Amino acid sequence: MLTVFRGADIYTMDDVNTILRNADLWVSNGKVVKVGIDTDIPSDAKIEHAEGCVITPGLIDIHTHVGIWGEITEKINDACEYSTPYTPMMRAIDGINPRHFSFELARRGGVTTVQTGTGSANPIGGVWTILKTGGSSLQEMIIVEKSGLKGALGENPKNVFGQSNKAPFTRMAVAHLIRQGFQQALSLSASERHESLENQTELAPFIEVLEGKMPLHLHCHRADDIATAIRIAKEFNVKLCLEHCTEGHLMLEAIKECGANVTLGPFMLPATKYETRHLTPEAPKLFHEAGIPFAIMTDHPFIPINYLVLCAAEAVKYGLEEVVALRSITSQAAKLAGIHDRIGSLEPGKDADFVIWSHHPFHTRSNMLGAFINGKRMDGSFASRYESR
Amino acid sequence: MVITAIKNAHVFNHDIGGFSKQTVLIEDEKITAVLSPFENIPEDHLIDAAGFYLTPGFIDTCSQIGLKEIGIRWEGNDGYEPNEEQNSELQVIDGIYPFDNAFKDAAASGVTAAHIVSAPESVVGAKTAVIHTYGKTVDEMILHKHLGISFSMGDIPKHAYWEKTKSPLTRMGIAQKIRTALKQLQHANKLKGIPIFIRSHRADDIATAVRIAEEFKLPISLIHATEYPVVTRSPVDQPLSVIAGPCFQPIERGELQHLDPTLYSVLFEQGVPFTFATDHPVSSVTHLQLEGALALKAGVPEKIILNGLTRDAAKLLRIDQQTGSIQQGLFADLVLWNKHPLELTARAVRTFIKGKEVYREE
Repeated sequence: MLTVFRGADIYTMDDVNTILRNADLWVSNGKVVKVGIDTDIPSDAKIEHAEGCVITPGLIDIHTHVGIWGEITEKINDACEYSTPYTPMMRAIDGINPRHFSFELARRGGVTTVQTGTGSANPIGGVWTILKTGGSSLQEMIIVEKSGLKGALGENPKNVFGQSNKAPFTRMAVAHLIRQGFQQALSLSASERHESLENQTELAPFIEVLEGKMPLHLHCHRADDIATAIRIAKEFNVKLCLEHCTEGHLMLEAIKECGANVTLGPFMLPATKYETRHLTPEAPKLFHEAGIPFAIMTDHPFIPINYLVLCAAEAVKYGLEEVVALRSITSQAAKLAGIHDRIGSLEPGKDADFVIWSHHPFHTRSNMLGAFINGKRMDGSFASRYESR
Repeated sequence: MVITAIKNAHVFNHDIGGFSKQTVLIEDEKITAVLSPFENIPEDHLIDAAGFYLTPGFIDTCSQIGLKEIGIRWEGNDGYEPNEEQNSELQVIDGIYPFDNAFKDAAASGVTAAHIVSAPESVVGAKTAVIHTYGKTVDEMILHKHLGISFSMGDIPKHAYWEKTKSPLTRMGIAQKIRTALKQLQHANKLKGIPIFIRSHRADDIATAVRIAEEFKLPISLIHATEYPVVTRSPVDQPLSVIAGPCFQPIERGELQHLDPTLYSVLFEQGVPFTFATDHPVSSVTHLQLEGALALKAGVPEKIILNGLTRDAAKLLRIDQQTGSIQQGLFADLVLWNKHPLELTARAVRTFIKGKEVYREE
């Protein structure tokens, strides 16, 4: 069954950022079939009128705790395993509640894919997952089940453990805990390594990172923590994703040189702690000028996931080019997460994940008119939520 | 005396709700004239603001700026005093640090005045104050030293009370604490003409706040009023106004689950006077403008929003004889914006407080 969305301005977010005015989007079997102007629409195609609207790819946030934090529904969150600081066996998929309202919030904000998982209390927290924000089951929603090993540097581990009189107390011990798993994994013989992967022991996630099967995500705000993350990744020659990177604008050369992925944010919160006191919404502009690609995050629930688009608009307000801002929550986010073969742009063969807006999404009066995942319209408007009370 | 003229800007007209080309004259701390663009004017210092938008400085009608500093934890937090009994004798101006970096953010975001309300943790709050967002001592920042008394309802004071005392506090208990405090104030003859501000989110708390207001025959302002859209009874014999939001904040408590910018459109449709707030650092003071943009997105007319951020906020806070409008005789608290100020990507480029330039975009 072919459906054609007709007459919208389509921001394809392909490699040259093609914008097609008054264009048609062809969708069939959950995939984009064609994007073009004045297309020859077959007579049996279903036509959806989108004249005067704007269509973008579904938005992507690659640093969230959607569905796992359990805000409001859980008294104790399901994202931080506070029992011990070293928890490589934690897997996001064991904590994600696909019925949690944050998925609906995501869809309302046009966010169709998120990376989600453990928080930042633990130097080694667990394995993250990338999934779509709609679907009939967790299995159906998942894009990458094991999308990286998450760890954390800086104040949070010190605060959660050190302040409760448990190790680690210092940044030195936090770094040591992160290194430990890699060192042990490297000391295994070939057969021990095989066995470890087979049985999914505590060292398996480290082996998978060492073998390049998934990256290492490190939460870091302060410049020294960012430098430590880079140092550790170099020591073990692993792919690094710098998460938050709040003081990164003070050390852009080092970040550029190391080639790590960068996800910036949340820069719309006031600095609530010492390590974020140099937070600035100019960071995206400064990274872009330095030639460092990045994605923009909400870190949901810290900024509600439905406001991802406002975070990108804020970066524009502070000097970032509009198209770069839109890329940072669509195609660039997909590239950094290694899922660009499926999502992030509207091109033939890609998943039909897209959003229809009343105006350009950075325009004040813009409202989300429909979010589509695999070609299927998602519901969950605010009106229906109020009526259901 | 130096006369500064801001020429050629699109100047906000409070009555029409739109912008038109005017010239604004500033002498010393005050606005001395608003003139048509064609009049010849004596000036010592000319600011050609062609293409820019000029509004009064925005007024944050509920904030903890300076009281709860950013970039630091307990050391800079002076918003919550657990000893309930004496709280209405406390005053927020004794806790404000003028060198909190958030004041720089405020000036850079076009916010020139703020109503300082103590933290929501204690049921009975300190005496509130209205201050400019620039100055070296709080005394020189004051616009209204003792504006009113604030109270707080719902899960935050419940939780805080449990943390401090390990004994429970119920919604019934909160209501009684508010009544007791009001009776004491009444007794001491300290309630007359004093505005009452009540932080409340849930529909039942809003209803209780309104009930108490009627018992004491007091006009009240609700702060937050998150679930106002589901309050069905038409309240009040007593005048009610709402310091709404902020809508842009983490939704981590059950009381906030239904927080949405449609709050603004419902208040507008029901004819309830309302103003905007960040409750900084709940949302950042930098996002007061964003609250206005969210209201526009929800369908509130531009005139209501821009007045809610300026003149109507000043009226609510009883400082409209000093600031809040572009009008002769008022403080020159003014902001030049690079675009229409309700655009998501609009920025303040120059901010003036009492005629002094306190921010200029580099």
